[in-house]
Amino acid sequence: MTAYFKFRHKFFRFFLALFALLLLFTVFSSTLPDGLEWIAQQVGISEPGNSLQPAPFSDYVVSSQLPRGINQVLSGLLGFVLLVGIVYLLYFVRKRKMLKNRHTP
Amino acid sequence: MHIPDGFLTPPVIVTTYAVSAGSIAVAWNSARNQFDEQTVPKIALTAAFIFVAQMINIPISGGTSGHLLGGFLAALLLGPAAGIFVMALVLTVQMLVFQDGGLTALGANILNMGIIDAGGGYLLFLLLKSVLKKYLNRKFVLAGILFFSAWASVELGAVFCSAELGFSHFAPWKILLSLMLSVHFFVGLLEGIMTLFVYQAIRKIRPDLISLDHLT
Repeated sequence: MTAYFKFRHKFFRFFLALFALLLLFTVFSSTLPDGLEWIAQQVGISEPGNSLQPAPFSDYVVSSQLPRGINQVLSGLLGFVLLVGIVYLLYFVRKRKMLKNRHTP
Repeated sequence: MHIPDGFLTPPVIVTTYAVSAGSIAVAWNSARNQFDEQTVPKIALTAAFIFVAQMINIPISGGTSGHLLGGFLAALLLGPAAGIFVMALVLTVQMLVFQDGGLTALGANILNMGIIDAGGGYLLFLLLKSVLKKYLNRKFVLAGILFFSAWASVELGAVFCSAELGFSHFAPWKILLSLMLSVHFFVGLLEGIMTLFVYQAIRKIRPDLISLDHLT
């Protein structure tokens, strides 16, 4: 593998292990309303149901056929892939731009 | 703390978007040089870690729950500019892909959980560090500063969230502020514990990989 993926480092192994541990914990994530939802209930406002933008996996549900715990884990993995992908994409775009600028007289 | 659509009024939406967009532009300008071979895996893993940490809702007394924010930890590991940028990225993915937080509230959410949590928490940390400079060599002083900064960064985010909702006539200010601060008091404690745990672990594993020179 290229030097871009230095996941052999203890640091990255630690972070990946922590990520895997947290991913397991998402199965036990509480279904109680979060602070803001709870406050909305306290002041008599129910959360508006209509979101302005459509989202492919609304409320971290990848498939409505699957149990909640599995949906949580799959969403976590999807988030991991997306975020790592975006960060690397930014890196490669920036690197390409820098190389292009270097070669421009 | 993710504000959904329909909670904020247009003036608050415009103001929070403007502040967040400006801050992200400044953060990117400062952090883009960090996007190199050595640091990019660290940025990517920190973003993924914060994403999954925010998915875990922990029950708090009174029939409510809360999740970690992770902004201060991101600022600690990557520096404040990259920390803010990473938080903006996480919150945007949460909104676009998982509908966690509304499109109209994205500016406010980035402000509360990104700019205030990461940037504000980090500023507080620097301030405390300079005030307590003489005592930093004592074992528990740095840990105490880290814990307090993490806790306070969550409470600061809650104050800003209350202000945005208050300006939007969501509920009376006093009620909003007292409820938000009390709910996030416990979230802040968990944030402090998580920040300390990750900091201590990284310090033991690879102190050279994170620029801890700004910590001691």
